[in-house]
Amino acid sequence: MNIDVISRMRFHTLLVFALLLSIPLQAHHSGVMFDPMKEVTLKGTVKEFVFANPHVSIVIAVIDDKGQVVDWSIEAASTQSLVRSGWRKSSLKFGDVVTIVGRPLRDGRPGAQLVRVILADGTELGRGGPNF
Amino acid sequence: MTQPTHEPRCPRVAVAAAAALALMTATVAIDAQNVPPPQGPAPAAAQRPNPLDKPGALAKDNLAKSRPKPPFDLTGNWMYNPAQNRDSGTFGYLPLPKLKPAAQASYEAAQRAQAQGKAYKNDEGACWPAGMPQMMTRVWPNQTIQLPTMIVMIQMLKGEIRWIYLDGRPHEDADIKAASYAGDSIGRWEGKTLVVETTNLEPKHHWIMGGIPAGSQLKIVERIRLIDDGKTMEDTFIMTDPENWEGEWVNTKRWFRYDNSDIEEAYCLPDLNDRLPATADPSNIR
Repeated sequence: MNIDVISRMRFHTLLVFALLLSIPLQAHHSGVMFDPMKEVTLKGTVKEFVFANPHVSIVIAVIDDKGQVVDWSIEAASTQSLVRSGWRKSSLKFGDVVTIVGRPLRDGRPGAQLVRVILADGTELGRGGPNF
Repeated sequence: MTQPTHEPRCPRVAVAAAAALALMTATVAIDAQNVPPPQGPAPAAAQRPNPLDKPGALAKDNLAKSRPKPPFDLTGNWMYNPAQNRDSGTFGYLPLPKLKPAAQASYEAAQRAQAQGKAYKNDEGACWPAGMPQMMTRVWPNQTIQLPTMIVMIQMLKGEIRWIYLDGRPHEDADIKAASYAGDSIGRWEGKTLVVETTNLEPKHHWIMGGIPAGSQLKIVERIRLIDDGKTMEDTFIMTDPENWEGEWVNTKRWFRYDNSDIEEAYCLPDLNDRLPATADPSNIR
C-alpha cells in the first residue's frame, strides 16, 4: 500500500503544539483546513514542483489502495524558509520518486501541508520554519 | 391632427439662412487660424491649482528642508515573531474591545468556523491585501526605509506598501484620494516616539482579525518606539471604529530587527492559488 495514513492522536504534548502548528506561519491564508493531528505518508512520482512564493507547491502521483493513480497536491512553506532548511530549486524534478509526509486536508481531498520529504537517495528535507 | 413641422415655409428663407450660416462658419475658421499663441495668464479655469500638485516626499527641496534630527531611524528589516507576541494575541489583537452587535456576530461566526476546522471569509487567501493593521503582523520581513520626509514600509508578503509622511503635510482630502488598504498615514515625532495616524481605509474584504471587519470609519493611531538598543521595534495600536466597537482598541506588538537577509517578491498569484490545497477549493476561502 502506497498510502499509509497515520492517525496518531497525541493528545498530551502534541495537543499543545497542535494549535501552533495549525497557524500557517508563512501562509497568506488560513491553515485550519489541514489537520495538525494527522500525518499522511505518500510515496509517489513528482509531476510538478513549483519553487515560488508565497508557497512552494508539489504535485505527486500516488497509486492508491485500488490501484488508481491519484495526484496529491502538497503545499510547502516559502522559498526562503525552505532554503534555510536545505531545499534548493533543484531539489526535486519531474519523475523523481519521493516519499512525502504531510498533514492532510480535513475534508479528505488529496492535499496536504508538507512535513518532510525523503528523496530517492534517502536525503530528508524538512518543512522549514518561520521566515527567519 | 396635423403634426407640427420645422420645414421653412418659404424656400428662399431657407436658402438665405443656410448661406448665412456657411459664411459665419468660414469666418470663425479663418479667425481660428489667425489666432496668435496664448500670451499672459491662462483663463481662470486652467489656473485652478491641482490639489495633487505639491512637493512630493522625494522632491529634493522637501528632502533638504531643515528639520529636527529624528530620535531614531527605523531603516531595516523588521520581523514579526508570533511567539514573541503571544500575550497580545499572536496574530489577533487581544483583549478585544466591546464589539457592536454585527461585529460581535461576525467574530463569533469566525470562532465557530475555526472550531470546526474551517476558514471564515479568508480573503487574504483569495489574494486580497491584508491591509492595516494585519500587514504589519505577517511572518515575513517588513522592509522599512526612513527618509526625512517619509517612511516606506514594504511587507514582503504580497509586496504590500505603506507610506508614512513626516514632512508636515496634513491628511490628504479624502474627497480626492481613494480609500486604500494601507490607508493614509501621517507621522510626527513626540519626544522619542513616532506617532502615526492612519485614516481613509478601504473596508472591502478588509479584516482586523478573524471576523472583525476593518470598517470605513477605522482610524489607527500608532505609537512606535525603538527599544532594546534598537533591536526591537514596539508599536502600540490605538484603533477606533464607532461602527464596529466601542471606545479604543489598544494592543502592543513587537518586531525584531532582521537585517541579515533581504526581501524578495512574494505576490499572491491566482494560478498558484489554484494548485494549493488550502486555496484551490473556494470553500476554504469563504
